[in-house]
Amino acid sequence: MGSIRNKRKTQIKESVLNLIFRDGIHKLSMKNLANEIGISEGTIYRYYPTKLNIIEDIINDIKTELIKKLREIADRNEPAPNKLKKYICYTIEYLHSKKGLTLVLLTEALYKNNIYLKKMLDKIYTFQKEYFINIVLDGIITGVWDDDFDLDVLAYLYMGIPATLNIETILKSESFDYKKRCDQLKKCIFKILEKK
Amino acid sequence: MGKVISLSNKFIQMERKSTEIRKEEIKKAVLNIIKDSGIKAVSTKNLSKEIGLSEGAIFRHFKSKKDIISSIIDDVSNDLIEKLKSLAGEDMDPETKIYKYLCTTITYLLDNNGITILLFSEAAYNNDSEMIQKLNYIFNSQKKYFKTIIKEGIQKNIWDKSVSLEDLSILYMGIPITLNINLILNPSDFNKKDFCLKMKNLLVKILNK
Repeated sequence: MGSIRNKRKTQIKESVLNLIFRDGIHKLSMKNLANEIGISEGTIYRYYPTKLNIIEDIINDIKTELIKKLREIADRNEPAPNKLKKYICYTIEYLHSKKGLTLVLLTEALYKNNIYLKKMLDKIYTFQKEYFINIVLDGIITGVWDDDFDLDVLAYLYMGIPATLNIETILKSESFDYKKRCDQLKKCIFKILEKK
Repeated sequence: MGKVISLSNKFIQMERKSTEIRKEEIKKAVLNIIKDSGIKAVSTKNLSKEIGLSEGAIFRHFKSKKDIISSIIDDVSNDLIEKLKSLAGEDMDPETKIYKYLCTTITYLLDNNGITILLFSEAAYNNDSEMIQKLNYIFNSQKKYFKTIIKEGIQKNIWDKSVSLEDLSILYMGIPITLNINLILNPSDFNKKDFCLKMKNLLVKILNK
């Protein structure tokens, strides 16, 4: 039974993302959502009492999917350059597959000034930054990388990668080859890190 | 008779001037409301309370809420983007230019409290194509003039020509965007001191041969 319930929930969450991406968050109502999936509103209410519950669940997914995976990459017993490459690429791939999801959630949070959502998103950003810093520190300590730069400012620069990606998705810029993009961005970051 | 006409001309001039001032006031009030309570809270009712004007008076200056926000977006284009455009065309060494370009942008965003991401959230929330287009222009212009500066440095043989222009400019665009997000999620967390200089140094490290 549990797995049927989870499947239904996944279906609802996916439809929310499709609907938001196509029509904007303002079109997200239980009625539109029910139409999109082809089930009754009552069925949705059985899984999620409110719209906000769905959005909270989506944020939780980001924590269990993206953040958990990033942490796992950062903690691996591997050379720092390998880890960093995987870290950057996984982030890009994830956001690409989720159509700029985190920024959409930020939009919701800002539009309604929802403090709870803002806090959750802040946490997601903070984790991404923290694990990035851990990998770079790992590389510096093991002597692979230079340390003649400001680490906080570098983390800031790094955090722009997911943010820009999200914005581009929402501004509906042309699609891009994310494997190539991650390779090129990795090159830029590595140039800062590598010893002369 | 003549005197009456000149008086009424003077009156019209005063009216006009106050129209501009009023418009500025309204836009400022909108930004304050957005900052404190989110875009959703922007209504002519809340606005008239904030400025002490009647709702009717507000409608004389702007047709709608969308009209006000659209005008604020145009201000960003006129103020920030025009400045960046002329900066990119100035005659100075590329490294100094990057520094100024970055710092002009950061100072503007700090002065305006992450305004662009708020405008962005309005456009994205409603999926409003006209506003998305305007924001696209702001985004793409910043990227374009940044590229101009980098190209110049490569042509002058100062920087590495194997750097991917597109990807570096994407990386660059992350700086203002992250700053905007940060200003909103965590306003007290930003340390401006030396930020421009340190960030410029990172970009130059990528660009150096």
